[in-house]
Amino acid sequence: MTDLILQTLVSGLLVGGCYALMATGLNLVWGVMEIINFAHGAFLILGMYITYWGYVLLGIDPYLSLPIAMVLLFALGWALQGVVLNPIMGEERWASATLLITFGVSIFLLNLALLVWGPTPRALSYSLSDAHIQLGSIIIRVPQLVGFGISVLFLLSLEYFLKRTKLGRAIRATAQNSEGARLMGINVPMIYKLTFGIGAAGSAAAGTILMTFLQVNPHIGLGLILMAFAICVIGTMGNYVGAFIGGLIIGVVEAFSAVLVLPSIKMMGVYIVFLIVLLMKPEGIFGGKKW
Amino acid sequence: MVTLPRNELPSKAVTVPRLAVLSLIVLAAVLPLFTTSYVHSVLFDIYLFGFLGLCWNLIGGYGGQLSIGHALFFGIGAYTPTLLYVNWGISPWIGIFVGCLLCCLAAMLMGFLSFRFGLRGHYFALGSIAFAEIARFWALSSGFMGGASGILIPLKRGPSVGSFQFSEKWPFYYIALLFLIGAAVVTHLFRSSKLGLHASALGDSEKAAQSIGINVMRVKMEVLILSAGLTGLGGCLYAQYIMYIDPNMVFGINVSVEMIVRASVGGIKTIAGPIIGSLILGCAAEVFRSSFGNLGGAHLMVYGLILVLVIFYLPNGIVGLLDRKGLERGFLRMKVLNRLPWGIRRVD
Repeated sequence: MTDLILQTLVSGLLVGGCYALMATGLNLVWGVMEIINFAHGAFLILGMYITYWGYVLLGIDPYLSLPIAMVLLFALGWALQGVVLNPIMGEERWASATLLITFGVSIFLLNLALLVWGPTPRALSYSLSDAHIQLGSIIIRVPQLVGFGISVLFLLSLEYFLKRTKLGRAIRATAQNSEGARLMGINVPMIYKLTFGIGAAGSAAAGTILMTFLQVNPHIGLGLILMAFAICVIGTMGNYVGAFIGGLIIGVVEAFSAVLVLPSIKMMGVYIVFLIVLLMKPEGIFGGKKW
Repeated sequence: MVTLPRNELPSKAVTVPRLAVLSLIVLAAVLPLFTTSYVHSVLFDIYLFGFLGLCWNLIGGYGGQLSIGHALFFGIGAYTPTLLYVNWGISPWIGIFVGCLLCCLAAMLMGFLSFRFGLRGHYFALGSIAFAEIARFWALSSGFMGGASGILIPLKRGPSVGSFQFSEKWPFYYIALLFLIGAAVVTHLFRSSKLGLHASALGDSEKAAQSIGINVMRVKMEVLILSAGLTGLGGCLYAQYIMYIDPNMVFGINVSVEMIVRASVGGIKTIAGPIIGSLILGCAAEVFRSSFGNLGGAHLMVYGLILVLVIFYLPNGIVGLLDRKGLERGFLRMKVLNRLPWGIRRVD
């Protein structure tokens, strides 16, 4: 029994680390622009499909397609922000407009994926997919471990980028006060595009590492967005360290509800925890502190 | 600093003559005499989702609380009468009211939990999806509710009005039409009632509404309950019409998407908006279904595209086109925007 609990805990933490990466893009976009990006789940799905088809059709190693997926999704995010979102952000009107627009983009992309690739669940089988490390009675799956590592690496480099580089400081300045940033000569629309692009690239990276151990089909998009939201809310919207902890919590909750209740309704546990946090402490564990 | 949004009710600028409304109703009433059952079924969809759009409009439009979880109420409304009928043979005419009551209770629970703890704006939108998804997973895993395979409503020996079953589909056409007219009347009354005015004030600015002494919590709860109860009626009608329900069909996000998109495309905070939106999107969906075949998602893809374009170019929806000011504002967006300073972006 202790073995089972320990095993569940370890795999929950590893998967949770990968989920944390999934929430990063959402977090950044919220932190800088206060846009809830509903299209995030669709970006993730696209990242997963790029990795999948890259391997199946072209034989690209999943980890090599990580930068490819990131670049493609960065371009998509940049374009989306520039063409659709930037023009309406200057307007004083219905505050839900940005949410509805990204919602529309999400419906479009997910159903496009459904139309093109169908509802069949697809999984990768490559050299590392069955590899595992045995530690005593606990089995650690290599793709999950690598994913965890990539996630940590990505978060650390984002931290470095935001805190230490000039561009990162410009992003943080814009988040604090866009008017002030504009007066200091920062190109605010460009910063918005860059932020959205980085957010999309982050979801592409998350899609790639999730693809190495999960199945993909367009219907999982909604579950993934909600999960990413849950992670962000638990760890305070806009806070990276918080999101990482939130990811670990959600990973563990999911793993335990799969083992203790039923694998088919493991998402229900995640939603219930999400609702509890949303209701009791909507500002998250870091009490509303960004960065 | 709080900047108050201007009062933008396109409905004020557009007065639809009573004669036009009356002749439209008469036209809709005699239409089944001249058309095939295919047209009836398309129009049934348009009326039903127009009705649901109007229900959503009460809380999502006037109340300004963007709910993406209305599938919860639709599902409860569909399941309750069905379960009562299949297990105990209770007529859906009674079940529909039980379902409506349960929807109100569910709305009380959801509203109390969400609004009590101050879930505002985006957070309420997220929370509402989670409520609907929990209900979906529950229905999927519950044996009593038929699980993933759903429930087939058995046909009684002879079709009878008492069991909400008819030998042909045209009675459903008239029931849906009545529902639609009923929702339009309810919205009309709501709009000029005290509750409706409070809700509109709340939708424009919660802080301002609070500061003039409106009990925000109470207004939100009442409007949500009204909206949920009506949505439940729609769920029952749908279940009796299709005669089969499963969790993904009635609790799935697609139901909420249909309601939100049809209402927003037509124009929120109006009566004509959700109806016109439903007419246009219903026809568009039918065209795409017939040209793409029944490929999953083709028509929803078009919905997404239309939603983005409408929110972008016509913030007041298609009804906003009738309002001259809205027309100019919508189409001149690109020009005006280039001159806007970036600073004044957020209204709190």
